[in-house]
Parts: sequence; structure tokens; C-alpha cells
Amino acid sequence: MARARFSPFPYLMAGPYVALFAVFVAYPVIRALYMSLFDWGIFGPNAFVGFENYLSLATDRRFWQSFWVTATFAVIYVPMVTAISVLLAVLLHRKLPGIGVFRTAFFLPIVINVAVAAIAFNWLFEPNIGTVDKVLHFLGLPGQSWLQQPGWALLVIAFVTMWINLGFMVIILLAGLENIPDELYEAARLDGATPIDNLVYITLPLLRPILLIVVVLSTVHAFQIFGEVLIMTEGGPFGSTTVMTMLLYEEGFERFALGRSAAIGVVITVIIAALSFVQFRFFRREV
Amino acid sequence: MRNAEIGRWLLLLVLAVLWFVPLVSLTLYSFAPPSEVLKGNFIPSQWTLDNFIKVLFDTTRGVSIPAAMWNSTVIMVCQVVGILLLDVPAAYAFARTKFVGRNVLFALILVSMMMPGILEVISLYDLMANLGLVNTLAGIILPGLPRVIGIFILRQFFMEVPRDLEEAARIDGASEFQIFLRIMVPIAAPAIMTVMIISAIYSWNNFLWPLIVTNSPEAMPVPVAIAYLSADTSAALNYTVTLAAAFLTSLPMILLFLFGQRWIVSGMRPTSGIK
Repeated sequence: MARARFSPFPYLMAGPYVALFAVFVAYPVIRALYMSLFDWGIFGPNAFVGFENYLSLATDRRFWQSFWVTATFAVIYVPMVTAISVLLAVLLHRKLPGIGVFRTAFFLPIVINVAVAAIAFNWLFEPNIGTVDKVLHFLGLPGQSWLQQPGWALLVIAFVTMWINLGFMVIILLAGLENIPDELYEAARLDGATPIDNLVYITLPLLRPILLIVVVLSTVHAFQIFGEVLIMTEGGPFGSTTVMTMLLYEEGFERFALGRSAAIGVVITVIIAALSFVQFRFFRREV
Repeated sequence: MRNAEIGRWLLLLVLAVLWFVPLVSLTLYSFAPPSEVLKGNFIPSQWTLDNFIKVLFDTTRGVSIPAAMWNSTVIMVCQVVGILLLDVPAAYAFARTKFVGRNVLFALILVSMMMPGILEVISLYDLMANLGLVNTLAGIILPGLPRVIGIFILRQFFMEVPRDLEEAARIDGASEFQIFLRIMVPIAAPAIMTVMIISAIYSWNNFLWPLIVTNSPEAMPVPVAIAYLSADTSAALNYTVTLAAAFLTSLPMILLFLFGQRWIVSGMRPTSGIK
């Protein structure tokens, strides 16, 4: 069989990418797993400690606090992003005068980096002089020192994160809406369905696969959130925004406990993987 | 317009205005003198270009914004060129050729998309320190090259190209590489454009890894430099300057977005069906 002879072509084409992937993606992941089994300081491994890093995390109050902060963040963030992105996608789906401008307006934050977004929101939520407090004062309501108060700080960070990521979610939801045949809405209209009926009985069920992507990706974002926290609160006030990535950063790059830091990274990864798996199962079963 | 449409239009207008408040406020105050900050009106009553002059000519705690923009430009050009040179052939190989380990490798590449970046930074920092690449542009650039998104978009595109095209060329005696270069690459131009723009945005805005691998102000790209400056906003004096720096450094990306929105949107859609 002449056709089966070896051709170097595919290997030459894929080789360079695969080599860099191996060095800069696969190797660091494996290496992080390896490091998490050591007492690893700034000058390298001190001692093999097995699962000691993981066990000590299990009894570390700061670790559990960071876990609950992150979980709280996810519980606020994921439903908020999902609801608002669906609302916007439904509003932006059908033609209107100026719809292109509206779409651009909601997509634009995709290109704004986290540092700029964090500064913009810091400025907006500045106590007394920021726009948010000005509006509240105008309405006769008291302002807040938003980022200096435990409850509010996490919420403000959720707003920024949503502001950055929402455009992407709306884009994929719009693609999903385009795949729903207009005839369904037409038939529903003849049956006297209200817009709410349409949403509940047509739009949401048929959007399910895309909704799954939105929920899974938002959960991944929530457990990875880092830049916003570092720039806006540095984990404060009183550790109320010290999410798990922030703890990892402190352990690794401020205390140079690299093994322990790697262990936190592995835990975050396992949580994300487990949640994604559960979400996929949950959505699939309900179809 | 019917009543329902007017309602929808008004609702969108209100939401869009709200959505724009952060950027508008940032832009307005980047043109305001520092004395306006404490008044905190939404629209400042005095205007100035002093903030931009400071951004362009001053060095604050070692950070110079023009230098950071230069760093970011070098990083962006290297990463975009590198990503295209790596991704286009690799995506083609994954889409249209058979080789040992192809499916396993592609599955691994997809799985890596779910890996949080934070898991890799610790060991990556260790690796870069050993290679002597901390605080260098190469140290920032290299780990950004094997990004997954470009492979994903381009592979999807190449899989949809009909077989007939290459069969005709093959009968004419074209080599595999000629088919790739002369037929497939030109057809894939829109997908390549998408990957190019998305990579440029990623490159300019990437924060986590550059933050970890740079600690000297001269090596910092834009987002890290801005974060570094903002850590000092306690002095109201610097506030408007930081806002001006944020505005100025975002401008290239805003322009790129307005120019490339079509490609960006098509690249982000779940099927990436680039027409």
C-alpha cells in the first residue's frame, strides 16, 4: 500500500506549536503538581513533604476563609452575569435603529484591560467624590466607603469583573439566539403567548447549550479572579476579598512558600474541574 | 416603531449609558486638573492637557508610560507574528492530516484551556528564573506563544474547507506544503485576521503573567505599569495622571476594536463559523 507510507509533513507543521505547548503549558502544570509535594523555597526544594502542603491547608484558617470568600464571590457573580447577559442578548437580538451602536457599546469593555477597568471603578466608587456616591447623595441616600467595607468590596469587584466579561457572554448568547427559528415565535404569537411565555418556553430551553457555556465559563472566571482584587483592594478590608488566587500570590510571591502556593493552585484547579463536571452533568440530565 | 420596540430601545439606551459611565468618567477626568477631583462633579468644570504631558514626559517611581507602551508594542508584535507562524500550520495539521497522537494531543490542548493560569505561574516563574528571563521581554513573550484559542478557531475553519479543492491541486502535482501555502492560507485569510486581532488584544491586555515575571519598572508592559501607578493614588495629585495614563494606553485597543469588531465577534462565537 503506497498510500500508507510515512510522511513527515504533519509533524513539521504541528511540531513547533506542540514543542512550545509542551515547554510553556504542559511542563509548568506537571511541575506545579511536583512542586506541591515539596517544601519549596526561593532557592529551590528544601525537602520532600508528600501531601503535607495539602494537609496543612486543610487546617489553615486563612485558606478556608479564602475558600469561602471565593465561593461567596461565585454565588454573587455567576447568577448575576448569567441573568444580565441573557437580558442583554434578548434586547440586542432583533433589529432596531442604532442596534449596531448598542452592540458596540456592550462589547467594547472586552478590549479594556483589568488594570484600567479596576482604576475606572475605583474612581467611580471613591467615597464622597465618586459618581456613585454623588448620585446617592443627590437621591438623599448616604454614600459608602465601598472598597473599605467587607460586604460592599466583594460586590464592587463582582461588578468590575462582570463589566469586563459580559460582552463575550452576550456575543455567544446572540449566536445561540440566531439559531432559534423565527417560526417558533411566530407560532407562539398566534397562540397568544406573551413575551414572558416566549422567554420561558422557547428562548431559555433552546439556549440551554449556550447557557451551559456561560455558567461554566463564569464559574471558571469567578474562581480565577485575581487582577481586580490585587489592584482594587489587595485582598482587604480584613481579608474580606482575599480570594484563593490572592492567597496563592501572597504565599508564592511574598512569602516564597512556593510548594504551598503550588498546592493552592492545584486545589483551585480541582475545584474548577469538579464544578465544570457537575454543571455539565446537571444541564445534560435536565434536557 | 411599535410601542414594544420603543420600550426596548429606551431600555437599551439607559443600560448602554450606565455601561459607559466608567469609561466616560475616566476619560473626562483625564482632561481635568487635580483640583477638580475633590469636587467630584460628573463633568469637571475646568479642563487641561497637563495630565497627558505628565504621562508622556514624567517618570513616576521608575515607570514611564511611553516606555511601557513601547514594551507592550514589542510584545504584541512578537506574539502576534509568533502565534500566527505557530498556529496556522499546526491548526492545519490537526484539521486535515493524520499523525500519531493527533487526537490525544488535541484533547490535551483543549483541556489546557480549562487550566487556571494561576496554576502555571509559580512553576513558570521558577522555569524563567532558571533560564535568566525574569524582567525581560522574552520572558513575557515566550509563554504567550502556545495559546489555544488560535488553534481552535483555525482548526475549525480548515475542517470546513471542501476536499475537492486540494484534490484538484494534488492531481496537478502540487506538494502537501504547496497546497497549504498556495490554497489553504489564502482561503483562511478571514480566520487568520480574527486570530491576529484577538491575539493582539490578548497581548496588549494580558496582566497576570507579565505581573509575575516583571518587577523592575523598565520591563513592565502597559497593564502592569498602570497597576503599579495606581497603587499610589492616595495622593490626589496623581489621580488624574493615572486616569490619563489609563485612557491613553487603552486608546489603541479601542481603535482596534472599532476597526476589527466584525472579526472579533466572529472569532468568539462558539462555532467560530467564519463566513
